[in-house]
Amino acid sequence: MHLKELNHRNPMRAFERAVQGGLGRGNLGLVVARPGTGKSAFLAGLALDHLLRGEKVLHVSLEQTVDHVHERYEEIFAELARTANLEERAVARESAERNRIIRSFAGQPFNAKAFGDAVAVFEQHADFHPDLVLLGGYDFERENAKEELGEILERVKGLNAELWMPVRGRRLAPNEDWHDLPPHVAALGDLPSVVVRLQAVGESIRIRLLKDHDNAEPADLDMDLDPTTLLVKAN
Amino acid sequence: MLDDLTRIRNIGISAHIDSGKTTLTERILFYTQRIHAIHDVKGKDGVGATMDSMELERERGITIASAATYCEWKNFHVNIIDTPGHVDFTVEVERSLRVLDGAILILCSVAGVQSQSITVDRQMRRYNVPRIAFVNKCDRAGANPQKVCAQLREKLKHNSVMMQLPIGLEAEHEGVVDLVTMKAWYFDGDNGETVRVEDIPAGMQAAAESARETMLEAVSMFSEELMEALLEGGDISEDVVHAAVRQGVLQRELTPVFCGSAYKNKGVQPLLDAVTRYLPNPLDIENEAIDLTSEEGETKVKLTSDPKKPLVSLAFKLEEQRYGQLTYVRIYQGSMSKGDTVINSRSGKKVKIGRLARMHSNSMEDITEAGAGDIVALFGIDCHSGDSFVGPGVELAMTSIFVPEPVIHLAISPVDKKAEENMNKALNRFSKEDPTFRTRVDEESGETVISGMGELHLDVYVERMKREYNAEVQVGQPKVAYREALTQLAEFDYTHKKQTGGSGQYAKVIGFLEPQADGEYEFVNDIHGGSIPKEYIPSCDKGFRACLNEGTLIGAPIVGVKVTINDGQAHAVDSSDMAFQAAARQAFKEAYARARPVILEPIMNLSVEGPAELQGGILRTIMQRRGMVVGTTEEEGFTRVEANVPLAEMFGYASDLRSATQGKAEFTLEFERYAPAPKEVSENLIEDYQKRRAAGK
Repeated sequence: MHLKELNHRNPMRAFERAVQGGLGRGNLGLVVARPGTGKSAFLAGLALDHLLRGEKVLHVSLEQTVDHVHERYEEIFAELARTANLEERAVARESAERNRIIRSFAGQPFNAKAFGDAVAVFEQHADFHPDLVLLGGYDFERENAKEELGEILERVKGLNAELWMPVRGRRLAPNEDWHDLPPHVAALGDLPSVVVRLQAVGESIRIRLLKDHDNAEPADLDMDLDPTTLLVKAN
Repeated sequence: MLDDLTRIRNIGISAHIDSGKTTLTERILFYTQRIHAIHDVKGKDGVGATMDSMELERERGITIASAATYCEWKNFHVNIIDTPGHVDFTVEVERSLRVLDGAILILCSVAGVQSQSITVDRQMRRYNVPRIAFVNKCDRAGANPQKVCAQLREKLKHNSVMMQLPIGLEAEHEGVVDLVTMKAWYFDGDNGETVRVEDIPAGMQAAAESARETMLEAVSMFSEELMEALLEGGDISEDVVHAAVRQGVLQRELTPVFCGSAYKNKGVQPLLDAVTRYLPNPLDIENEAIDLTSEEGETKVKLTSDPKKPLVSLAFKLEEQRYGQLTYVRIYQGSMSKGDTVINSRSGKKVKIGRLARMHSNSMEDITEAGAGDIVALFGIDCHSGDSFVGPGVELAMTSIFVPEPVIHLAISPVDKKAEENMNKALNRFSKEDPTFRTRVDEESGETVISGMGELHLDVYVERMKREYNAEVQVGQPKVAYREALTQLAEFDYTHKKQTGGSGQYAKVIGFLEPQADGEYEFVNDIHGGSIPKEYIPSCDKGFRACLNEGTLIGAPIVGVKVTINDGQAHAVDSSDMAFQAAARQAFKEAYARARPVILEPIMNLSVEGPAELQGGILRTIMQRRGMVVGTTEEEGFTRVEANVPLAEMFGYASDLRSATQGKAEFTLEFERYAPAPKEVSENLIEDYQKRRAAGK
């Protein structure tokens, strides 16, 4: 398969159509899931989709090392290239690599200013202006989370980029519905524009849309994550 | 020969260049009474530490060659393989990792986990080497072993746990508290040779108890007995703790951390105890050999460390010493005695073992036999490093060690006749010692070209030629080893026809070329019905193969091609081996041009570490070199930038980085992969190549 075709056929297109053309620049998207349900794989897949379309991605991790995040991209790329039988994969890989920078804050203090400084260094010295920012490992139960995320989102707006973040969820209580936003996400009010939940249903992982911009009734996505590759597939 | 294999340890000491590896080795040899005086690296007394046997290393204060030395500690027989500290010598590091069963990872208590520690750790992980850590230099200002233990966890993802607490740090560093026995260890005497065990200093009791609790909790994961004892609150015996730690280390799931200061003679003896207690013996490790009789490629056979079974051993290091040529051998199975005849499984040659010895760096001791699990030196045997020696009738070879192709070439020319003779001697030696170091004579220019894994790699050999062989040479500009590869399938249908009176030439080949991801050449004969007679099939293969040495873009070797022929035609009279070879060559050339060939260039993994405020400057040095930043990390005022940079852009990097950071940053460079060169770069290379060709003709 050619890169063009792959990009065209990527199930991410279907996802974008469902959320009115994608998250949109300057907006915050959240992926809620219990640990081990494929949050980071979903986001790496999303990032790779942007990279293969020539966009730039800044991946900020508060927990993992650069090596760790990098390995994850390598795995996802190899998997995608294999399943799609991608042609000229070495060339595609090089351009994807070139368009991505990982910034690890593992074990270090993090706040909106630290985020802004990191972004500024890459803008000034590496001429790097991301179209998509992934921010992983953020603790949404922090006291000033709403305020801090607001500042971070402002900075991302300044970059004219999208911001996606994984949110660690917990098991749904019997009286809860999957449509319900987790309390610490609900507490963020209108900050996030799109909220997605990954939910293990039997053998597969369903992708649920909890919030879709100002759409009162988000579409029912008929999409799963492939349980072995953790890549998105449209049913 | 030692009958009890459980008392053998084959260990390596791996570390960042300045963490004090040589000093630690020196101390170990002193305490195990292999040497009788202590010298320090960059010897103030002009002698230099015992392990640095080469003059060059002595001068630079680094260790390059991996000499093996042995010592005895409390009835344990310990072989120490001194692994090179510089990443440019990756093959040497990897070769020594191959023969050892466990390792001590030394870290500096001030600098902690540095970029080179990360590289070395990655290599150890690749070879699945169990390790224990020693946090050295606790006497230095800013020493903080607990911080280093945490870094092992965060940066290297080790399940690290402190087994000791330092008693005093910096100038006050006196000894260590052992958290298993809950005793304080002091090291008395001029050289710390007298161990004094006492009660824990009153002020440290609480800290020691809490550290012990943390340690036991981590270690109990590997022993049900210990877990139960912890839950029930009963007495915990030392043996149970030792067994649990050992289990964790053998499973590569626990890294016990020790501390001290080799230079100040603190903490070395308990580290030796830890080596014998926790690191594996040869029976704990499973080794495999390749079955040479197998027709299905590399079938692996398990070896058993049984001295009575037929011999299987690996020559992992050659060394020219004042005693003559030495070959270091690790015996994996069977045993080897003086006077035995063994077989080199690569060449099939019979070799008689005239002399067998244990090496202690610069002195030696003759022995009559050695068995499985041991490391010994043989004398006067002609072989390459990486060769296997086996007993008669055994058709096994130790797995070939992964040897990357060289990425850089350097033309050298001797200054006079004498230098030429010496140079040839040196080159012959080096290429036998180091498989990544290659040498050839360029057909066109008549110059000698040496090739290797990096600029520094070749620099060191040029330097060694001068010092050890008195061969003065002039060096040219280093050249990058490019490759060519096709990126898409292309079909061919070519007829080679010549009619010049007499018997003509006729051959027709039809098929296609396609990229092969693993970089190898593969030839597939898919002809059914005999459109090309069987005897001409090898001719076609030969013709295609001939095209691989020189691509049409820039004359670089072509890698990763699969050629399939599925049809063709022969003529009863005019077809010949020659005709089919010619047809294949032409078919390849034509199809190659249509297969969108690209130039591949070596990409290096660059890791730069320096003060955080210089991050911008460091990033700029990378951006200026077509580098791509993989990622950055910042910690306690230091930043580490990891990047991929084409080798072609890396010449002179050391001095540029120095001026961009006032010498405050350091870097490591390691070959990573071959990748397609960008369009402008390729165009320039092609233009240069065409100019050179035009000028040549």
